[in-house]
Amino acid sequence: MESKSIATPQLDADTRAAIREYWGFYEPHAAAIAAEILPACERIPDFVPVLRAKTPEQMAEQNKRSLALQRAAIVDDQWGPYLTDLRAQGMQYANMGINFASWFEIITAYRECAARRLVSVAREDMQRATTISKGMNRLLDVAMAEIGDAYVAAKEEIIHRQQEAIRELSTPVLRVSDRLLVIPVVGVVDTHRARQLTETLLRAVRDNRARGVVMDITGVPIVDSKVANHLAQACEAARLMGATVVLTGISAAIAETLVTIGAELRGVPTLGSLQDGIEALERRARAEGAAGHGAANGTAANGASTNGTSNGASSSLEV
Amino acid sequence: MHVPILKVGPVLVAAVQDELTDSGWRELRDRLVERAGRDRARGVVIDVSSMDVMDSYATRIVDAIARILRYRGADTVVVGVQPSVAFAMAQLGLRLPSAGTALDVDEGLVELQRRKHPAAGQHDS
Repeated sequence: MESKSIATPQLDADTRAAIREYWGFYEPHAAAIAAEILPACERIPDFVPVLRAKTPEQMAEQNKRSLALQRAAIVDDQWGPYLTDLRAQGMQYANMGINFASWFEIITAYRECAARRLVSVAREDMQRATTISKGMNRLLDVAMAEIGDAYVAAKEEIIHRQQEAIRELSTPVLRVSDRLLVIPVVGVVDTHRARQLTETLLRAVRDNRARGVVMDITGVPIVDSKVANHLAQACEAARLMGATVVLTGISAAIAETLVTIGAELRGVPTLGSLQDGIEALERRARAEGAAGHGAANGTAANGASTNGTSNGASSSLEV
Repeated sequence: MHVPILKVGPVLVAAVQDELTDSGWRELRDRLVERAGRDRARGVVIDVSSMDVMDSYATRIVDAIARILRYRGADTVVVGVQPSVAFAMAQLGLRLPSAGTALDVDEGLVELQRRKHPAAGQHDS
């Protein structure tokens, strides 16, 4: 799901020594500090379900495991498993919808607990206390960076999945009558979506042997020159396959915008409403059915547009 | 590559196989124009369903064929443009203003018949 490789953080020798010094200070107090920050965790609404989900035994087990991972990282310089664990946590919290800020509250509680104990060290050896403090801060930064990274990656993944879902859902193809399709377009049309829309349209034309397609854009909030261009391209592509596409549902506001910005729907027949579009194409289909008997009606090319040889599709649908 | 041209009543059907070279297209053009005159064809169907690519040259020459045949009294319908080909053509702004289009040969024949009676619907709404 994410490709970021997990590497040992870039720490200089001084920092490593400081983190080891901190570990020497922290490890004996680990259990006590964990017990102390538990109430702080319980006060954070987001974390209540996480804590409820675990028995005290499981909690102790988790703490033990986490300590072992930290020891391996700090003492034996084996950062991989520890960072992997942090990333897994970050992803888990993202998927559970836990606010990232809640994490900092726990870190704050933890810092306060550690600081209280650090005071007693400082009374005897100020130098050591400073080193421990530096090591602690650096380690917390590394840990939070890793969790934050995974958290953001997981959230992005969720957004990506949802976008996909919306895209899938938002372009249904409806078969109205024999060889007549309706494609209601809902939502914002960007370049990616336009591409997908065109593919859906062309596949639908082929699979249904459609002669006419009404593309209704009532549900498209914004149509700028780019979108207009995309829509014109989709219609043109369908026309190359022998289907006539009629665009309907252009609201007054959008029509006004198109004219104001000078965008054109070149060669695309447009009609007011979905009903108009369906009726026009059905009329056309009926006329074509009769064409063999020399009674074609309403399907003639618009002579002015392409020296009398244009095919019937070019903006020549009589309403 | 030699593109077979079949005579179906008053209509000629050319089924373009696979990719055709530029010179292949020119040869097809010349043969189609010649055959249309010889057979007194009223319409020509060009089937491109087995083509994966229609580049600007192919598009231009097909449209030119349609214009030439128009002068000689025949309509041209291009059939079988694949979805991916149509998509690419639209993106590149390639159009076939002089040729009709239809889904397949069947539809192409119907389209030609329709075009034979343009006067019936010309100013009739």
